[in-house]
Amino acid sequence: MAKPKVAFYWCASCGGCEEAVVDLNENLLVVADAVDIVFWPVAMDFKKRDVEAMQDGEIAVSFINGAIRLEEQEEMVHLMRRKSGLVVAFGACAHLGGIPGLGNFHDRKSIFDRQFLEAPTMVNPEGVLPQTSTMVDVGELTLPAFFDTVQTLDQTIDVDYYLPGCPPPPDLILNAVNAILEGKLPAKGAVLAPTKALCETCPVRDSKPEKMAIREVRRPWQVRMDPEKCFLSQGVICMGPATRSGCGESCIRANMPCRGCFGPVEGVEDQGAAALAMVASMLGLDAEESLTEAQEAELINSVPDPAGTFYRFSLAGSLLRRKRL
Amino acid sequence: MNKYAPEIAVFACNWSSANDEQADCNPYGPVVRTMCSARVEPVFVLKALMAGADGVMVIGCNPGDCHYKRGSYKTFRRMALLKRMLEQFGIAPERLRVEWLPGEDHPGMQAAVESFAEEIAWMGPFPRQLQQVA
Repeated sequence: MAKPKVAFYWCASCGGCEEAVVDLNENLLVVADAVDIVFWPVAMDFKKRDVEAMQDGEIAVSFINGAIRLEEQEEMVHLMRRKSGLVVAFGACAHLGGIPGLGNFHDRKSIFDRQFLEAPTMVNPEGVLPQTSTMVDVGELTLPAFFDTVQTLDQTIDVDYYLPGCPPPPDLILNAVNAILEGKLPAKGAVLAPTKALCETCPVRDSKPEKMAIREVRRPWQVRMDPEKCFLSQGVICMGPATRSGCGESCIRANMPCRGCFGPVEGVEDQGAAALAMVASMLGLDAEESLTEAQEAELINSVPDPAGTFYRFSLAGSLLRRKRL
Repeated sequence: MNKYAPEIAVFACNWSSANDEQADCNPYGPVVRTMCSARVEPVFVLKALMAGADGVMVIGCNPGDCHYKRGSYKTFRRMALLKRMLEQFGIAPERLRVEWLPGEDHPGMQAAVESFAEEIAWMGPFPRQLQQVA
């Protein structure tokens, strides 16, 4: 029997998702034995024309990481969709926009202005900006168009499954691959990760006070964090209560609060709104009757960058999707 | 100059202001009654805005008079933080208004909705369209 064909592709991402595949270590060899990798630009020398030459649906599954920011990415994922039986949105950026999705607080012009004109390290006296087409002596040079709005993968093409995380941890990747090989997949649209909140599996869960009250919001560098103690109880914003578990709590174990890369808990539509409700409820909770309005306002204003904090990985996939400019 | 006819979504605490006769107290859109203003999660506001509302009003009991003791305190903090966040999204925080009304204050609710609708009318429609998406 022919081995199932598998493809990997990357869009607006950092390469960490590719690294996560390599982090399968010896298991990668087992996977590579069981499947036929037909396209993986970062690691293997196949070209777009090789994919174009395939039959529609010929690739059993494509793992696509990264958000959709460029015209080229949009074109490629449409091609991958056509050639693939299953498409898995791989990692936070494909799933919810991830860090590149934070570009949705800006648009092309403000990003180009900053990057190519205003950045202190930039020398660009003629104010040259990237063009989709430039004529030079030898002919036309082209670049893909840069969109104002970053999209998640499922805002661009139909997606069958999601592997969350920045990046997805090896055990979840392996589970997903095995489920695909064995044909034991859940219903279409499922996130291939546990459904509970990270708080439920947090190693410092037992230190969580019964009534979580925050009297002073502190950023990680403003406090010597006790690794044995719940971050929220130390006034440090942790996305754990509003984030899906399954990551292996690697940030928590490195004494850093959860930043939310696994996206919302099962059934929650908007991770940022859930996190906002959670944090706002905790602010001054132990003294809500006695706090003056000014004191409450001060507490509320002490939350650093609410939009960027609560939607750090999920802005593009959120209800509002972007800043209105 | 013609003012824009706004769509307003009202979330009203059942103990505060919205009894049966008042279901039509909002001529500009739906009144969604909840058991407490603290039931109104920030996501409700975002969904209302994305679903067609130009402004969202949350009506609750005076802090201190909450039937469940502490609900209005939470509403105050959540909506205040949400307003800050809306501003970061380029959305005027005035599109969300929290109003404390004592129980069964019919004229109070009507007046509150009218004054809110007046402000939203001048602001115009909620910017639902996104910049160049693909």
